[in-house]
Amino acid sequence: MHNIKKKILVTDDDPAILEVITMILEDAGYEVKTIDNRNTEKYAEEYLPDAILLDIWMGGVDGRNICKKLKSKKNTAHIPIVIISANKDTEMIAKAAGADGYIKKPFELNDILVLVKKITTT
Amino acid sequence: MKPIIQDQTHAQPQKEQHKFFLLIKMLLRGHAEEIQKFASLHHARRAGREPIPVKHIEKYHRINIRIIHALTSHLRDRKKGTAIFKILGEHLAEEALKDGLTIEKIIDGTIYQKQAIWKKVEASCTLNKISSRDIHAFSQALENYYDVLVSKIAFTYHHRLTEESMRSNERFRALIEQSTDAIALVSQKGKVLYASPTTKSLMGYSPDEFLKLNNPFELVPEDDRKQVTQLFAKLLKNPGSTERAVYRVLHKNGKHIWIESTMTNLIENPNVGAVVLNYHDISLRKQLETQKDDFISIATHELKTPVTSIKAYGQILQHRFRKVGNDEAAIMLMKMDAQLNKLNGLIRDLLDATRIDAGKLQFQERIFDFNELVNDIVGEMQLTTTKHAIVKKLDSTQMVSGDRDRIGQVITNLLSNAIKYSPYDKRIIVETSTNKKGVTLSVRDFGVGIPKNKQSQVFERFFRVGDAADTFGGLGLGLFISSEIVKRHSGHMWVESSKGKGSVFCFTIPLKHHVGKKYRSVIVPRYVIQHA
Repeated sequence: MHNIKKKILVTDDDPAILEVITMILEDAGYEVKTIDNRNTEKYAEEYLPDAILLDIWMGGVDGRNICKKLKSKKNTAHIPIVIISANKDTEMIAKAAGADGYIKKPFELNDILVLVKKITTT
Repeated sequence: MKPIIQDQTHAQPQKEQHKFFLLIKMLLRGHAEEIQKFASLHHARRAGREPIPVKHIEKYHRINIRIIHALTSHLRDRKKGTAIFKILGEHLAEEALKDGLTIEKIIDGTIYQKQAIWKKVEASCTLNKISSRDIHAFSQALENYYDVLVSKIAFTYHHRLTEESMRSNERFRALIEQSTDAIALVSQKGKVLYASPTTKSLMGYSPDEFLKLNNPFELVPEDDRKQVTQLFAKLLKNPGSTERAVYRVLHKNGKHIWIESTMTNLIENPNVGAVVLNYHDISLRKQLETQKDDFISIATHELKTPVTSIKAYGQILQHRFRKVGNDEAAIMLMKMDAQLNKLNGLIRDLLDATRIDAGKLQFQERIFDFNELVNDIVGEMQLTTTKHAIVKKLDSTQMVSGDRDRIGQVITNLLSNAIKYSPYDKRIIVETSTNKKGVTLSVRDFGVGIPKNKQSQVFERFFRVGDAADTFGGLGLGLFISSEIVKRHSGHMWVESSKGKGSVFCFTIPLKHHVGKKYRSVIVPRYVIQHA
């Protein structure tokens, strides 16, 4: 049977981080789409990824709000969201925003792979 | 009309007295020096030493001679004599006050002088031929004039000292009233006994309104109140001590302002009899601190961003090199990764240090395997050095409740220091011991050590063993943060060390504790005071 690649949507305002995460995930067999902060919500509704990696601090747009909004909309509420951030209190922020997981920057490559695998296999 | 015989009876005693006074005058004047020396000698003998400082002896001697002359010149003219003695008394007192001599010294001096004069008159043969009425007249004049002298001396002293006291009071009143600090005197029970005028511009309450407050501590918001009242209680137990604190108070307009206050317990000082509270508004300083903290928060966030991508690229490369069998390159990238972790640690320390002050250091509690953590950290740290060999002597493991990341931070800090401060000796020993009560970990190095007189400061912020110019690097924050983390886990941290022989840093964490929320401390940290 044809193995469909899982789709991951990644947002971050730093292009280097976007590139690196894309490389990691693509190497591991995922399909990756990257989007800048402003359009995350709209794109998520259209693309309907299997998981979203969301950065909080994104030049004027607060990732937390995006997370809450997506979780509250019927068509996107089921998508697992992981919050990535350099913020000290990432874990607490993720919980408060209703996210399904968190990753602190700087991260270990393995952490990303393990977490993405976990949330896309349910 | 009076008979001539009567006139002669009156005139005779008058003439004789006049002759007698002339004789006294000549006697006393002729022997003034001798008399004064005699008086001074006796005064010195009684006082045990020279009553007048050497540099002034000449001056007072001359004044005393003048007094003797004045006495002899005005034996008959009492009115003029009294006036002159008043002047002399004032002059003597002014000089004595200027020279800092006590009133007792001066008055004693006049008494000895009077006695010396009387002795001289007694000793000369003239007395035998003199009528008792004339002796009486002389003695009256002598006593009278010296009474005037002494009174004037006393009055002058009193007048001058009262003036000085009033001027001093005025000076201090002006200082207190013009001070930009508000000053209050508070009783043991916390009642305000005095509030300086500046209270109005600072708190919005006029001194009168402030005095009427039943409990000034109610102006401190709940978050800070317990600590402030506890500090006050501590102050009351230690007379003469001082405490400093930073907290908020409610201004009359309903808003809170930040103040820094210094309280000194002067209850047992008879001149004060209260706690002196000296405080000023630090809202501006607080604002700047908040700006600084916000800035550091943002800055550390920004610094972490490039570190994140460098680390990620490094790990991808590591992975790809391993895939093609280039282990050498992979290992180098592994070491680079360890360095990036170190860099990240420094950034995090910077942020933590500001958060500790603000009381915002937070913990996530969970249960974890202690030895597993130790092994992880030792593995990581070994990668950062080829010169040192980290040896583990671990006791059996325990499940510990606490913030795993933070405890890991402490162990990392100790190992990083051990590596840094033993540039020549390779050995580092990590030892643990566990029992039902808790876990203890120690890191021993054989490096430069810490001199005994610096050991108590080692856990303070910014402390570094060398000075700014030394080559050991680091921010000086690690141990400060580590000790704070251990403290928050109800544990404690200590060091055993001697200069040149290396150090053992230890910490222990009890198994049963609660990593609770800590309220911002109102106590002003020492480093702030040092920089003030």
